[in-house]
Amino acid sequence: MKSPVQQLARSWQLQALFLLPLIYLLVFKYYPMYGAQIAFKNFVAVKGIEGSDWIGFDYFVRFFRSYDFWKILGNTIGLSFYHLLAGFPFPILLALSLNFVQNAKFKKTVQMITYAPHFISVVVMVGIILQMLDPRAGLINRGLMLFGIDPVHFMAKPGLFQSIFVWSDIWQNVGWGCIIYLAALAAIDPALHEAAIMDGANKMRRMWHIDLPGIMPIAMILLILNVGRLMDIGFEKVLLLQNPLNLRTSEIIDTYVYKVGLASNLVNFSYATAIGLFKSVVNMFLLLAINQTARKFKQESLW
Amino acid sequence: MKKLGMMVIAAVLLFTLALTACSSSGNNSGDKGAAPGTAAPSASGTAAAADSNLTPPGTYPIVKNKVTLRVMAIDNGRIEDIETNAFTKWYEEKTNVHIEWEFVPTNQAKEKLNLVLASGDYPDLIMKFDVSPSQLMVYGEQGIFLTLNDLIDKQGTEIKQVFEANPLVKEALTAPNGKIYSLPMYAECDHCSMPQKMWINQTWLDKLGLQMPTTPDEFYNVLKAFKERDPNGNGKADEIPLAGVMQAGANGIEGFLTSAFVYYDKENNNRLIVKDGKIEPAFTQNGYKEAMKYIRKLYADGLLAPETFTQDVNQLKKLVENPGVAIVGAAPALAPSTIAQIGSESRRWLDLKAVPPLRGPEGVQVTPFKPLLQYFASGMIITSATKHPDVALRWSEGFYNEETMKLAQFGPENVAWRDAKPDEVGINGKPATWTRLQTFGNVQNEGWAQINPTYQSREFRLGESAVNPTENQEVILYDETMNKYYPYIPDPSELIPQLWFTEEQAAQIVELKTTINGYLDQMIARFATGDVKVDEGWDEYLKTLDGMNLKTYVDIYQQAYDAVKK
Amino acid sequence: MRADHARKVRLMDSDKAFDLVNHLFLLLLVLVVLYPLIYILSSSFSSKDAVVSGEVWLWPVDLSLEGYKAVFRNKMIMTGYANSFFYMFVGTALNIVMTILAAYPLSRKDFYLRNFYMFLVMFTMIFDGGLIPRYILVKDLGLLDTRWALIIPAALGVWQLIIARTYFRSTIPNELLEAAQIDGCNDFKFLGKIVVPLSAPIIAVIGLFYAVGHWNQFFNALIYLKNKDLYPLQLVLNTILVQNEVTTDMLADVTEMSQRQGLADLLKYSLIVVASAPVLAIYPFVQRHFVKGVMIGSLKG
Repeated sequence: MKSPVQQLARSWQLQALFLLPLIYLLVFKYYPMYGAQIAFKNFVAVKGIEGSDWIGFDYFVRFFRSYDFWKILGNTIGLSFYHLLAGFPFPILLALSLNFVQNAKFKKTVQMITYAPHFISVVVMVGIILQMLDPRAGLINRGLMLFGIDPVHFMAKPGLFQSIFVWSDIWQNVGWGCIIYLAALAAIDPALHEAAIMDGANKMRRMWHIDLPGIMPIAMILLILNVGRLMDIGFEKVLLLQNPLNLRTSEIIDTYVYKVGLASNLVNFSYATAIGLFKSVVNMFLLLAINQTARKFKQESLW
Repeated sequence: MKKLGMMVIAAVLLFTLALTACSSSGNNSGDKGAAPGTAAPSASGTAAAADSNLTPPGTYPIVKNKVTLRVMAIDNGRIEDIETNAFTKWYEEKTNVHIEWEFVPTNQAKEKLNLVLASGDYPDLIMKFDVSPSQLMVYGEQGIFLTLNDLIDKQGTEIKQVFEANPLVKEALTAPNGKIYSLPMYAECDHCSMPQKMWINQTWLDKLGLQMPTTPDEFYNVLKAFKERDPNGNGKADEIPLAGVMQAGANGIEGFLTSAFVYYDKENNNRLIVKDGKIEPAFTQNGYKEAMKYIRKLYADGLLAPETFTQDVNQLKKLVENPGVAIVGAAPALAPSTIAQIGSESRRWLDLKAVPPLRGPEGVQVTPFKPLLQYFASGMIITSATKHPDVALRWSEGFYNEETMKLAQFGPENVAWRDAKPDEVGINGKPATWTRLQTFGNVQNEGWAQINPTYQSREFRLGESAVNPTENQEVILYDETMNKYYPYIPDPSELIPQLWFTEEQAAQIVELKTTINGYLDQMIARFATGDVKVDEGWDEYLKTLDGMNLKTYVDIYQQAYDAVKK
Repeated sequence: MRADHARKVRLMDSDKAFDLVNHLFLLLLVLVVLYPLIYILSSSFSSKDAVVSGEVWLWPVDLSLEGYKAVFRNKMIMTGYANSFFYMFVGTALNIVMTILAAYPLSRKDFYLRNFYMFLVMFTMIFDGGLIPRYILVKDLGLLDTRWALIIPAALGVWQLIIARTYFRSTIPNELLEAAQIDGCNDFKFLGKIVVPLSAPIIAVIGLFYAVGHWNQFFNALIYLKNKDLYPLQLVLNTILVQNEVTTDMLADVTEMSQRQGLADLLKYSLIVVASAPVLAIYPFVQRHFVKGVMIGSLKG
């Protein structure tokens, strides 16, 4: 094995390229990490981070001992996994589907339309959801009544909360999510398709044997990245969709922490940071696990 | 490979630790002005230096040579340009104090404030930020927010008048340790003090020949009549007798209805009651149980709209403003403007009249009363960063002067407002004292559009000329409130005053509150929908509350209450 | 997407069926997704009374430009647009450069310390120091209240970096590298002359993600900027919304309150249209880069 210095020298150009990003990471990402200390301190803004007193794991213990801890943790994990698994195939499907459309105009139109909802703000999106699901005048119930079915009070059922959250999210973001897959499909060598056609393969088979494997690396990486952010499911949308009837399934870690840590009378950054740290640790373990799994199955992995 | 991995992890950890060590030495600059115990809570130290520049208290200009103060304020988007603003110039000339502004948009004010405090770079004055009494006490004891007692004594004039006019304000402003850490913001608002109101469609009552209900049973019958006798006359049974929303503060659906059975105040009293100086939860009383059964009955008999428990205020508004014919019979709200569109073509808002508090079977007939509803402790805070605490105080208290206040609030005299003519009548029916000339709320550059704290006494507020009295919301609200609700306010001993929690208490309270209130709201909804039967589920309900540390919660309130009552 | 000659010649029956199902599926999806878009557009062109009373379902009711007038009345709108364009273009340019500089070396198996750097990168994705140290850092670097506060701290996105790296790994064949090295091409040249041109699709994609991220930026602008002249569009729009919202100190001014609230309800919709229009307009330009393997094919030849 060559010595480290020699190895560095050998790859000096690559090292040089990486230097600027490295500096960025150290300055803007690593240096501020000292702030994570406030999770273990009783942070008082006026004392600053250094001046605040250490209290060790108090916040963590307080969180773990809180009345609804297990329920909240369960809700968070359940919602996240549901969101991940249900949401995963759709952008891929859409990309594959669009890929085979010949008519350029149709393709562009579909892309534009499906991409646009991504820009709707959370507040408006929730307003639309509530309106659509309204038991009296909502579109969905009006449709049901046409078929003689009794209207359903969707938002009142705790069991439906997760589905409402997840499917509306898929609805809003499938067009945005498929963009990355379209790019990946664009990079597939057309010669492969030509060869397949000459071998008599139809579109279905070409999709299965060429396109799908072609986007597998990106799909895997995206899956791993999303698992690494599993515990960070957006809190604003959940908060807006909460109501007293669905609260037992709709309270997740972030909404709870918001109410206790930030919205309360005595803003408690420490508490919020501590819980954030807890979530990050969980994320890390999940990430390690899935990366290992991907490697075992000889798929593309992060490292 | 494993070895390399371990080495990598070790390296990163060491690296991070090293960074932490570096930052400990490099970050002390961020702590300037933050050393506890060394701060000078009173202004005596710096007063000597500034003395020669100060003019006598109560006189203007405040200083002989111009002084600059840094002020952090909330940007409500209604001022075109603060530098060229007419009031800014007028006030600067009057006081000889120049202001350097830093504006923060409303919705991120809390976070920005904490960032500013954490970074150690704070302004002289923090204007109208929402800082709770607990926070005031914490930062006040740290010395970061100046203690104002001495300053007020020596330099204050306007603020002393405010205290004299309204002793409640001084009481609420003073922490249990006797110190005052901020200047208040107060606008006496009668209809706001009695927020828990129920509004009913008067035209429907008239059409069906019904009297305004006075008891829960009568209310039930009225609602039933709404449902069955087609008051909107369109031949369809599309009437919704009663609708509401859950999480609307004092006007959650359960508020008004429960007050006929037990004193139930969600905001001021936090759903607690005071019995001979002892704090108890309202929601474990027998009266509350009866209230839950009553609400259940309304729901079960189709008189309470199911979507009440899942909809937001916008959706409720849509129901009330139903195009074509009205379909909602009654709904709780602070004012019709919350649930209907004032000035809309439908004129639905004029149909709504207030229902006086109902008299329950045990004779309970009361409305929650918050004497200081529009009072905010943190109208103005002076920080330790200032070199001119006396100037800061005098500059701030200038806003309590009525003349200054009108100019700041509305704009120049005879442009935005004027003195009332002798024949003009005020909101309370007495002769008016002033008349508004421009509507409030537009982007303008004449006044400060309420970014500054003020003191607006009841006399002043009600002295505004009432334009078009029969349709004037202010007049309607005043009349309805004073006639129908004021007679039923509770005895002052039943009210919980402004409480100051210590940091420890506040931390515990917020957690318990989140859990308990979340559970209470859930149970109100579940009792109503019949998901849990009130009689059978009551013991379980009480047990769960106990498990949530209800006793500790109540005890903390008791401690804070006792501390203030001393 | 240009049609493949070979495909035109050999259209089989199973392909016809596939095409039919495919098109139906897309049509259905479009209809489902279209509804909220039309609703928002219609609401934005309706009167505030119509919006408040829920009359708007599909088409505008009481056609009115009230909402848009309220938005454009604000003098800062144009500044907001200009600033946002600046942040978007400059920010994205920096982002793309930084991302390529980081992703390419990481994609090379012969990059010494590759796994260590990768770990370094991943760690930052999961753990971060929080708002307060970030704020203090920006302040200490003198970036506070400057345009650069919105550009430099956001210079590199880990997510985009990893995507780019994956792309490089899977589409730049080793043979290409080896051939180039034999020809005496060094790493810098290879990156600049071969990799970048081949990477048009991924650059387009991460460019789009970065651009949208800059365009939608709100919170960072809120905490780092004080000077209104530097405000990006989202912050200006927020000011407009806030102007029209009911605040508790207006409680006493009940009529105004109701007027404001109604307008605020309407504004929510107009604001979305105003804010998103430019970003939606960019998309066709980006999309044309998703062209199938043109580059690879031509280079190989």
